[in-house]
Amino acid sequence: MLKCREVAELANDYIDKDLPWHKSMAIGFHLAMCKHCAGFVSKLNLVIAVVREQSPETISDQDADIIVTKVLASRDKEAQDAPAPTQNR
Amino acid sequence: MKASLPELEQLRQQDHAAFKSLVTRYHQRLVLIARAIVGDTWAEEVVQDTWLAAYKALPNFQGRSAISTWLITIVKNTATTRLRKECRLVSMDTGFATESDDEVFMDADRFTPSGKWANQLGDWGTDSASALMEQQELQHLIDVAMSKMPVQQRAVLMMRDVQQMEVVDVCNILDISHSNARVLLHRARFKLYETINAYLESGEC
Repeated sequence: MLKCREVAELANDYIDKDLPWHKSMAIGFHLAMCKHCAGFVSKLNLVIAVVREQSPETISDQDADIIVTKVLASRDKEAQDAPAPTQNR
Repeated sequence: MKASLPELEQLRQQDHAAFKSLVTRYHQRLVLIARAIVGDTWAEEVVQDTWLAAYKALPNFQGRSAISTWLITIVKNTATTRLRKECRLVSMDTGFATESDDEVFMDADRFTPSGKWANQLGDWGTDSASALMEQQELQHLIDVAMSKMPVQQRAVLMMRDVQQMEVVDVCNILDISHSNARVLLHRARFKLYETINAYLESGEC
């Protein structure tokens, strides 16, 4: 049977389903027998849920205005700098 | 997040208000990814170039992928082009720390020599993330812990656990190995685990 230490170190991979099946089964077996490790894995799952609940970082209206203004200015400059289309004779 | 149909149509028409809303929502995330690729020096410029490229490409955006994925692809390409142009591999700015593939995540003293938990783990009193987030002080501590993470660690956490991107995509975007991505993600999660645990066990951090 795996040791608690090994289970703790593989817990993230177990949650992410990033382990070979036999390792995953061994951890599942350990978790069924060990309430400490089961509790630890539950808490890690809760950490992931907390991260997902974080409100996305947004920028202020003013900063967004500055970025959009720069984008539009760059687009206009590119249009001005572009060579005029040649006419076929 | 997928853009709603009316919003998508507005974006395709390069509607300024819809574009500004996009900038408001995604700028910080793109800066974080750009910093993880090119470092602090060029990140803001790279993201500004990304917005210009995105604005010009919006009329052709089909909406087959989430707009966030589309923007992340553009920032990755813009950042990579910038790196090549600067002929440097990595900007070693403050806050840009690479991580080794060292697999040790937890202190040895958490376990007995026989590999069992040395101390019983405390009870967090809830299984609900929402319930945890209602504690304003804890929310603040989590914000601080995330802001102090090395930039690549935070970028991987954001891409995997917030954007729920596949590991292979995270590796491609940040140009890191699968094992490096795992280590970064595990460290980030453990850091937050420790933050929450310390607060709930002692009421302080």
